[in-house]
Amino acid sequence: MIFTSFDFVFFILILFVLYWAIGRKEIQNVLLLLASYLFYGWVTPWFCILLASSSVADYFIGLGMKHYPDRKKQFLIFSLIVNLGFLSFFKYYNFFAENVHAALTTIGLHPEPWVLSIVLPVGISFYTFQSLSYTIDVYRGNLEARKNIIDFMLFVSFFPQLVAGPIERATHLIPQIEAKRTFSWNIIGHAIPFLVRGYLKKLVIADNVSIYADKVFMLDHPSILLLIAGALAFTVQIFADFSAYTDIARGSAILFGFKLMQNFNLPYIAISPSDFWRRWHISFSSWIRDYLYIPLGGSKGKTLLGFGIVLIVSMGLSGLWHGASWHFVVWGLYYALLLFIYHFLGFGGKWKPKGFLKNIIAWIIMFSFTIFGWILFRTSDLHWLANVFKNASSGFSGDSLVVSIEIIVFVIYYSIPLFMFMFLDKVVPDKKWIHSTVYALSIIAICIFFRDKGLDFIYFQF
Amino acid sequence: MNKEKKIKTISKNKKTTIALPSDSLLSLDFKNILLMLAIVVFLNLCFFPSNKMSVNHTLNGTLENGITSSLIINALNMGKSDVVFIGNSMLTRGIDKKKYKSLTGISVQLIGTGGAESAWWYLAFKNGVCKSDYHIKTAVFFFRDNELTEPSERVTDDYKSGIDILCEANEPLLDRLAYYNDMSDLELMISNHWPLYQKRKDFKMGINAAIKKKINKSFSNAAKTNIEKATENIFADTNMNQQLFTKYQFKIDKKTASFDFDFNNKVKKSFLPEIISLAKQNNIKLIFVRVKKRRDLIPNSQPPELIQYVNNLNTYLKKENLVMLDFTNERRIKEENYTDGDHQDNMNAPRVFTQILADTLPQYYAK
Repeated sequence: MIFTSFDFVFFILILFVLYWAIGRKEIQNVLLLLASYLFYGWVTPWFCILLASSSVADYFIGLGMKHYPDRKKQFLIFSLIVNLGFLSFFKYYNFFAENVHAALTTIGLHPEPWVLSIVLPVGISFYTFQSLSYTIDVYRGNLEARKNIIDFMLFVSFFPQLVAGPIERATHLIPQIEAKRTFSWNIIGHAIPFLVRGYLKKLVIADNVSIYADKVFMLDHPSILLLIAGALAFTVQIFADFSAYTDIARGSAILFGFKLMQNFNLPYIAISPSDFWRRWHISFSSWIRDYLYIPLGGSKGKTLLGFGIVLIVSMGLSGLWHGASWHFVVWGLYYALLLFIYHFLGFGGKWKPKGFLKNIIAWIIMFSFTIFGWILFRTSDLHWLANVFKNASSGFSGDSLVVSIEIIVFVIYYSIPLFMFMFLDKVVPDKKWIHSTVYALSIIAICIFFRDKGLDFIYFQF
Repeated sequence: MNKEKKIKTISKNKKTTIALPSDSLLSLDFKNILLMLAIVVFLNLCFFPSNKMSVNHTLNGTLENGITSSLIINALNMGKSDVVFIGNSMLTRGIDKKKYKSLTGISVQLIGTGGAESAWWYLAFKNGVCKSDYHIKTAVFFFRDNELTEPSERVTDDYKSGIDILCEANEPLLDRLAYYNDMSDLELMISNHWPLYQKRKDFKMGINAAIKKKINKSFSNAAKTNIEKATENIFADTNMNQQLFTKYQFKIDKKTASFDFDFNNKVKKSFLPEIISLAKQNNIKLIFVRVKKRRDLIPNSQPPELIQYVNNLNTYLKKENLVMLDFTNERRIKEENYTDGDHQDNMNAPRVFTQILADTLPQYYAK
C-alpha cells in the first residue's frame, strides 16, 4: 500500500478507530501486526512470507542467544547468514551473476547467463537492517531478547516505517511496543504537522520537480548547464521525496502512540561530508556507523591507510545498499573519498569553521559536492555520464540556457515550502498561529498542485 | 524537528541515545487546529458559488493549419476517396498515399495530425467523415497499444486547440469521457461541488505561464526566445537516449499496466463503442490497425497485461464483426525505419509500411 493512495487513507482511518476503541495493549499490538502485514502484502501478498520468515528466524535466534550465551557468536553468524542471505539473493543475485558473466566473457569464456527473474521485495533492505539491529544488540548485551513473538514481529513489520524507514533500533521501538498507549486528542495535533509536511513535500514538490530531473537524465547529450539544472532538480526531488516518506511515517506512527526517530535534519545546510551524513538519512547512517564503521575501527588510532580502507568498505557498502548497480557503489565511494580528503585536511568529524563567511564558503563547496554526488546517484549508466562529461558543450547559450534557467526557476519555485518550513522551525517556533496558517495554505497547495499521475517514492526501490 | 531533544532509552544495563524531535515544536493544540481548518474552509468559500464543471471549447487565439470538421468534409467531398485512414503522426509520417494508390488502385484520404488520440479521432469521424455528403464505405483507424481506450489522453494544453476546432457547439460525450473520465465517481462529485478543486488546473497552468513569461522577459531583446519552443527543441524525441527512454517507458508501463490495460473496464468509458455505433448508423465499415512502435522491435517487450488487453480488444471487435490487424510483429519494419521513439522515417518508412498495408488491407474493405 502506498501512503499517497486512497487505499491508505481508508486503511489508516479504519485502523485508527479500531485501535483506540480496543484500548488493550496486547490486542492493539495484534491488530497493528495484522494491519502491517495487510499494508505490506496489499499488492504482492507473497512478500509477507519473506518478512515473516526473517522475523521468526531472528526471534528464535534472539531467544537462542539468551538461553545459550556461550553460543551467542554462532547465533549471530546464523542471523547474519539468514538476513543478508535473503537480501543478497533478492537484491544482488542478478547483479553478481551479470558481473561475473561479463568478467568471464572478457577473458574469453562464454558461459550461459545465469540471470534469474527475481522480483525485489519492497523495503527488504530496510527491514533486514532493522531486524539485524535486534540480533546484534542482543549479542552485544545492549538489549534483552524478547519472549513475546507478537511484539517482536510488530517491531520488524510496523507499517509506517516498514517500506522506507526510518530504520528503527530495537532499543528504541520495542520498549514503545511493550508500553501501554493511551489515547489523547493531542496526538492529532502532533500528527497533523508531520502529515501535512509529508504530503506537501511528496505530492507538490517531489512529483512536480521530478519531471525536470527525469527529462534531463534521459537526454542523449545534455549540456553541462542542463546537467547541473537537472541535478539540482533531483537534489530537491530526492530530499522532498524521501523526507516526505519519513514525515508521513512519523505522523502515522504518532496516531497510534509511537514516536519514530528523526531521519533528516536540514541535510543541505551541511558544511562537510561528515556533517552531511549526520543530517541525511540519519537512521541509516547511524546504523552504518554503529554496526559497521565503528566495529571496523572507525577513525580512532588508525593510520591514514587503515582509515581509508574502513571508509571504502563502509561507504562502498552504503552505496551498494541503495541498489545493485555500480553507480550506487561509485556514489558511496565518492563520499568515502570526500570524507577522507576532509579528514586529511583537518576538516573531519564535527569541524566547524569560525566566522560567517568561512561557513558560507564551506557550505557552497559542500553543496556543490552534494549535487555532484546526486548526479552519480541519479544516472542509470556510468558510460552515459562519462560520455556527457567528455563531449558535452557548456550550454551557456541558446535553447540550453533558456531551458536550464526555466528548470532552475521552477525548482526554486517548488522549493519555497521547504524554506517556509525552515522558517517555521527556526524563526517562529512558538508562534503557532503562523504554523496553523502555513499548514492551511499547504493543504490548499496540495489540492491545487498535486500531480495526477504521481510517482512512487524513490526509496521504495531500495 | 531541528531542535533535537535527546532522550535516553534504557534497556537492560546499557543506555542508547536516540534523537527525537521535540514534541512542542511541531505540535498544534486544539485552538490552532481549529484555526487551520477555518482558514482552509474560508479559502474554499472564496470560490463559491460553485459552478458545475464545464469545458469551454471556444478557441482562444488562432490555430495555424488546424484541421476543422469542414476541412475534412470538403476534402472528402472533393477527393471522393475510396477509404479514409484516421490516426496521428504514426499514420501521416508512415504512409505514402500516392504510392498506396499506385500499388492498389485505391484512393485514400489521410485524416490525422501529430499527437492526435482517440478524442480527436472520434470528433474527426463524427463531425467530419460521418457528416460528409460523399459516402465513405471504409474507415481505418491506426492506433498504438491502448490508445483506443484512453479518451482523456492529449486533450489538454496545446492539444485542446486541435480538439476545439473540431467540436460542434455541444459535445457532451467528449466532455464526459475526455475531461472527466479519469475521475472516479467520488472525484467527479468532489469536482462538481468543490470549486477550488475545479479550478486547480487553471491555477497551476496560470502560475506556470506567469513564471515562463517572466523568464522570457528577463532575456534581452536580442536573445528573446520562446521558452516553449526551446523546451520542445531540447527535449525532442530525437534528443532522447532511446535506451534510457525505453527503460523509463517500461517503468511507467509497469506502474500503470494493471489499470491502463484493463480493457473490459476501460472500453466502457471510451469513444470506441460510440465510434462503432456511428459507423453502423452511417453504413461505414471499420478496420482497426495496431501500428508497430520502436519498442516492439525488442523481443518480449510487451507487458503481459498489454498482451491480454490486445486479446480482449480483438475479441470485442470480433463480436462487433470488425477486423483488427496487429502489425507489432511485422518483420519488414526494422530499426532503420525509425527516426526517433515511435516515429517512422519520412523518407524510408512510408515505402515499407505502405507496401505492407497495400498487401494486407484491401481484402477487408467494404465492397
